Amino acid sequence: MSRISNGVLAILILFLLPWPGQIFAEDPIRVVTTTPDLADIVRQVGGDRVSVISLTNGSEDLHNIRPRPRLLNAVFKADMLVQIGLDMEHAWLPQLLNAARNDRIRPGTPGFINCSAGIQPLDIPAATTRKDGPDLHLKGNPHYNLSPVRGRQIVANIIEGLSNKYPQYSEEFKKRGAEYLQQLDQKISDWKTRLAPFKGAGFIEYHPTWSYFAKDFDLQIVDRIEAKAGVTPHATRLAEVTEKAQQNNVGLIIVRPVNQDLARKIAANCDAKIAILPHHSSVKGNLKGYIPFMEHIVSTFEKNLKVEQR
Amino acid sequence: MKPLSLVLALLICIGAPLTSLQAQDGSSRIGLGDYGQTTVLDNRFNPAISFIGDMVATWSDDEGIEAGADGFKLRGAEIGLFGAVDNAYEFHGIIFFDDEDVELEEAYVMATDWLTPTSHIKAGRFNMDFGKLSPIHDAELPMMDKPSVLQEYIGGTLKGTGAELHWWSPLGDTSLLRGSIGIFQSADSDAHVILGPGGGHHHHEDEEEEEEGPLREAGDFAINARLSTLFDVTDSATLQLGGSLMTAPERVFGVDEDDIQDINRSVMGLDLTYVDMDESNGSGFRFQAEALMNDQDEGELDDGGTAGDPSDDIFNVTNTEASGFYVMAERVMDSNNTIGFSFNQYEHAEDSAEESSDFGVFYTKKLNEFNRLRFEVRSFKDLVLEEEGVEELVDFTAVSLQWTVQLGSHGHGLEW
Ligand SMILES: [Zn+2]
Repeated sequence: MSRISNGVLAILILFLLPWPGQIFAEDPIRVVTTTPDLADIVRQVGGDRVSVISLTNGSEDLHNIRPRPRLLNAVFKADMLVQIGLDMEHAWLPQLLNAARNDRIRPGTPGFINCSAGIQPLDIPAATTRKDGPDLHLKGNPHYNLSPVRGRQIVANIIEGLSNKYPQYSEEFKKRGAEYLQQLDQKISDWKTRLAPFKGAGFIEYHPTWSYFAKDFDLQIVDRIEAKAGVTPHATRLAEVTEKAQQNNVGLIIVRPVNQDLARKIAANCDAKIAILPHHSSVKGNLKGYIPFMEHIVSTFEKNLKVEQR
Repeated sequence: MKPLSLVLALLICIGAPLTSLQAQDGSSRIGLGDYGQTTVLDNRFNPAISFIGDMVATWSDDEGIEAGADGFKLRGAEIGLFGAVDNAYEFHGIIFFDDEDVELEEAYVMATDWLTPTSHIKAGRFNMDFGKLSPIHDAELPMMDKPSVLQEYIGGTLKGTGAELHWWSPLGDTSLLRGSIGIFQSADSDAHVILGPGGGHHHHEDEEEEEEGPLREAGDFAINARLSTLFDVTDSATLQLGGSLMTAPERVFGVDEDDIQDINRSVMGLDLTYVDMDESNGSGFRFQAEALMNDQDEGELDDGGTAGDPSDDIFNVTNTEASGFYVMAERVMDSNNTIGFSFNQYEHAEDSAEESSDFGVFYTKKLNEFNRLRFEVRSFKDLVLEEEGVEELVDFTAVSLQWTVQLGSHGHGLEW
């Protein structure tokens, strides 16, 4: 019957259509990163050898990205993929990798870079329970990009990963990477000097985010508004945090733009300022680039932390 | 219930994922190439298991005739088993239970590296790739029941035993094209409906002993095909347009075994989906519409001429074309609260002169990742209800409260 031959014809047509991933095999190296921070660092290390796409623009909640055509196409065409790891992208990256089936960037191959390599995770949950909902940070806190000291490790991982996959450009990557690390080291010592007067000062965060940063600069996280990563706080939780803020004379609450309303409720009942900080640099504007972004973070803490509160 | 196939599917699902997808071994030192993501196919769950329970309480203002669902009901529970072997195969098995039945909902193997990287083959028993809301399971619906236009024409979900080839290709950087074609032994339907034209009667309508029919020819298999395109129209919004076609020819004996008659059925669907999500806070909205055109033959043996005399009987084949649609919109206020509405209008599959419609509003509250409450009010106009073999067109309004529990492995997949 003709229905069958039509079907066979349709299948043939589908297979005769080329898939673009194979068409442009030559330079530059197409690197896809999950965040703008990683994109910036890959650009710093890779220079003209790479063209970089970040799958996110910096304002999203990385735990909650909708897999869609732009993301899938980028992953499909990529020569390398660079991720944060520690379950940061677990809600969407596995689906994209699964759908794209791009062997060049398969986990376990040199085309896949997990930047959490060499990072000792903080805040690993002591117990896992379904009470109140799941913990988004089962492997520990994935927000290590907010620590410039861990940022050095990210740079080192990217140098190593790019060099593994493209040994012919290895010298170039190492040289550019070393220059960038030197720049970053200078900034780190500047930031440490500027935040030194606030040693021991406390702040409250919304989501379990700033542990690595606090460790770098000897700051205290007094409490978290989310009892567990990803669990929306209820009224009783807000009351607990407010009480703790009052007891500890906390002067600063750090939130992402989307969570500021809840933070304001707490700030209204204690003497704390609210600072709104994104968790990642941006793909455009004045928060573009990892170092300018960290500079903004440090100066926000510098302006808002209370010296007398330690 | 088919105990043998059930046991078989269980064995496949449990036995298959003995090798792992990932290079993770749980040690604290993270390597450069380590995956670093927990997936729905994580080997530590070996295989991954999910459980879904769905409870509904409904009250309606219908008088006399039973709308089908006053009071409390366990719609059903589903157990899913998933596993992967390397990058080559995935196994999916879903078993459905309700208070009277156990049923193999889906059991299939997905071969992912036989052909090109952008195609895969699905084989086994599964929901056909037809339109948007037909292939998904009840717990994933934005409203309580499958839209009544789907219930009327395809019984909620088109299902079959066979094989389906899936394929996609990028179109530039922000769009893609996706297609599938499947061949099935036959097309059956399977929905666990509380309210609507599919309500009341149970799944497996086709379970009655099938008469021995004429030998099949190649063209007698059911074919399903779908083509859709997705465009990222802005940084946050995606538009999808799709078309699906299912044809299920059937050959039956007419007046006697020498009289072979064709009883054909085909359904065509067109769909449009627009999703706009603000990923900084999980808010957004979705608009979705599907139109279905149903074309079905009905064969009836007419005891013409002398009553009781088979020699002058006539086998009548009548054809009915009917069409209908639904539109729905939902506003996701934040990741825990969603409101929406849907409207259905459809000509009856067996009598296109008759038409029914319904309108409903729903509010879904996610208590947490595992628990969800939904409140729905739906008003039906001219819904066909049957009481003691007599069909009646009834208008009524029903209020429903749905509680869904979802545990274990469930991913938020690519919506295409
Ligand atoms: Zn987090």
